[in-house]
Amino acid sequence: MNVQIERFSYDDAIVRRFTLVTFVWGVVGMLVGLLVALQLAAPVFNFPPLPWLTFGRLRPLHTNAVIFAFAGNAVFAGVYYSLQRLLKTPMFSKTLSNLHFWGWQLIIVAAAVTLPLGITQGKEYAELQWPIDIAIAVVWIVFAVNFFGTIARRRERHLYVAIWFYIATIVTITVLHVFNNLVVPAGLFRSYPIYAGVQDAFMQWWYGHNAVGFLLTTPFLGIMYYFMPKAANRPVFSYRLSIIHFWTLVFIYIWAGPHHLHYTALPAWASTLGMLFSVMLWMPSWGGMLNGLLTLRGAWHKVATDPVLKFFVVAVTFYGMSTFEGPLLSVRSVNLLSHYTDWTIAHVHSGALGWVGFLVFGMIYWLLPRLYQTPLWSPKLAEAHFWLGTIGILLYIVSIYAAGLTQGLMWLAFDEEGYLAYADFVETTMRLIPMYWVRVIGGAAYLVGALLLGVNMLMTWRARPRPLAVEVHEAPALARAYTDRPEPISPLVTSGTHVANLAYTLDRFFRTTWHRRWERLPLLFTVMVAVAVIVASLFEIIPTFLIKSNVPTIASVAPYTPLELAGRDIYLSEGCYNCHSQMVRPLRAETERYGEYSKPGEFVYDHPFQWGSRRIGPDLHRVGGKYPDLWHVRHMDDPRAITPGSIMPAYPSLLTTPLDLESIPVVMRAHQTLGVPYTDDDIVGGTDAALAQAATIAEAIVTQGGPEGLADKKIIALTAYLQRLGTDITRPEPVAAEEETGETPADAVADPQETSGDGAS
Amino acid sequence: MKLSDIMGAAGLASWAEIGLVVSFITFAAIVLYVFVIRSRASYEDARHLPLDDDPEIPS
Repeated sequence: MNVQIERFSYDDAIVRRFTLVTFVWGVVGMLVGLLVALQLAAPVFNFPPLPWLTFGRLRPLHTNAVIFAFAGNAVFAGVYYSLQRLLKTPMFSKTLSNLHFWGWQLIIVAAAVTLPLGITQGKEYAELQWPIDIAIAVVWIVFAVNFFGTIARRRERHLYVAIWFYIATIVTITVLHVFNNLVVPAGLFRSYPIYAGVQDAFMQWWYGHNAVGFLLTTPFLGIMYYFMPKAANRPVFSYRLSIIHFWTLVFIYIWAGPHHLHYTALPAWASTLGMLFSVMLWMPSWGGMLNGLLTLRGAWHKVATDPVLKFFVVAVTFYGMSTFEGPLLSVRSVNLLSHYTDWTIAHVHSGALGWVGFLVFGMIYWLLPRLYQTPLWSPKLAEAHFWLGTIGILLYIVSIYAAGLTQGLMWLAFDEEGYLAYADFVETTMRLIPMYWVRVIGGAAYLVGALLLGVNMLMTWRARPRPLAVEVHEAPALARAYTDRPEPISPLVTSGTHVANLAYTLDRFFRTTWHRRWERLPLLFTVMVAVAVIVASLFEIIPTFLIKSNVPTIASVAPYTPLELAGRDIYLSEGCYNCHSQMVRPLRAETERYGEYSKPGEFVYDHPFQWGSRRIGPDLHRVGGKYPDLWHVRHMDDPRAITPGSIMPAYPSLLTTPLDLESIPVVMRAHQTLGVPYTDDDIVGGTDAALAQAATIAEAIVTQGGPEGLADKKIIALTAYLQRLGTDITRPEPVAAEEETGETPADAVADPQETSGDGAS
Repeated sequence: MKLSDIMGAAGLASWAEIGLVVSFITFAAIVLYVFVIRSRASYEDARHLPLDDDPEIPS
């Protein structure tokens, strides 16, 4: 056959750009991280009265910056470098590469502007508002077209395992992003998810958990499978293990999300299923970790001298540690102690700083000499970065593990008489402050290390040859027709024994030449990945959404009043969910502290749910009616005047900023679209109803000895919302309820009544 | 009649358990295929893919 040799060059300019922004956004994200760490150690760093620098607004900025900007750009750098080389072809389209690059950076800038302004969807890691979500989808599709276009033009038949992981990333992130961000907009800067309460929680953690899986795990595993063999200059330890690693991870990961919701109002079957699958994840994760580490066998002496391998070894070790810990935390009885505490934060950071961060740093140090065609400016400085970073991680996680355990044990502790040992929540907060300071030191060390990378990048860039050489590579074009290597001859044939035809067929099946073909067919491969992800998701999601008994309705639960709805928007916008849960678990330690445990039927009008994932402050689900209105006003104005030792930011601006009355009908209309039973008359009279309720509350505040003139301020709406929280189950049922049983509301939950107010389905 | 009524009456409570069993069988099948059925030699080329491209770094 006549083989045509083709000449081509790789596009490394796009890799250089993505590498640079990885560093820049990494520093920004870590800097914001350091600031929020300081805010928890000393609330003065919230800089009141500036509303846009409070913890509730900056924490989403930190998480979004490090996940989507730092890790995201690093993934793109790694993919653009390795994909071209593994497929022996330049990227499909330079225009698409550039569109992808600039589009993604614009999205990051939009996030960095909107989040401090309090423009948010109010769901963790999915805070960005719908116009930005659409932009993300568009840019992601641009990336996907470029990616699959490159695969179509490849000169290497077989898709290396790293590319499988990239495909899984592209497919799954698309599905997650679309389904978790289905919202009804109410203007450009506001929207409400189509799901409510339990379902919203379920979707959110299906998304949240898998975003970790498919943005912070699979693409980085792809990067590990490419860059680690490159750095060690030996092939991956076991290609077989990598196949097992891939398929089990893709198939199992997608189920694990509900383990974030143990002991909540989510049906127990769902969280148990999530737990089972999480425990199963031990196997592929550790298989992958061992595969990475064993790739270095025979090259361990290089680790002593090569900073790149040092970063990789620690990264893979942290991958092993956090994937051991994740399943552990998913076990219900461990979760009982760890949930809502800093333990989760320590877990996340051992994964983020150790696994993702160090893998990225190792990759960049390996790339720099190749991208700028000159040796790394200072391997010694890279070494210093490594040690500073490692010490930083250890200081961070050790102190925060300690904080998490302390917090969890204190919340659950009873004294000899059977009372809560630490009934005052703030006692448990104050105990953590020294550990929060250690975290600040650890985080600062990690950031300084990253800055050393910046110095090395700059100096290596300056030493580059000008112009950079464009290397020309050669490879034969991929033949249109492909003939498989001849199949090995079956022993059935050679032995001369006479067997039934079926035996030949079976023999051929088990020799699986068909599968080898299948590995060369990217389209089929992608479809298989999509099927694995979607089928697994449907198995879990369909029952939650459609089986009625999962969310028993409660007759006395009514939609929020217009003013409460406006207050809820303020609660979302200020990011209160970053520190406060709204989910009392059915444990004695919690019902003693907060009140009656939360029921699924109480959240049917909550678009989005606000259960939270962490208690930096106490749970708020039963806060309604617990304090007088004036208490909330004073507490928002200056939390430490009411609760000495509190680390909550002060919100004096809520007492002076006017309430946005005009948007009330728009917001109500959006909720009506979502199935909340507001009538058209309710919506028309929404603003007046809000004004009337505000006047009543403002009057009560004055009666209680508070300031005058608050009736049209934000604080009134927020107070109305907080005073409503969790009170519905103690209200008398509406007269319209047909069955008059004389049950207490709690009994009514156990024996749910069918009502018309079923906003859940 | 709402969709949720139909689905509620369809007895899908065991849906997830079926999923668990199907997943486990798939997992077992993949392990069987990769480690027992396919020969080690067929992976050798793939293993070396990352290493047969680039020039070394300048020094």
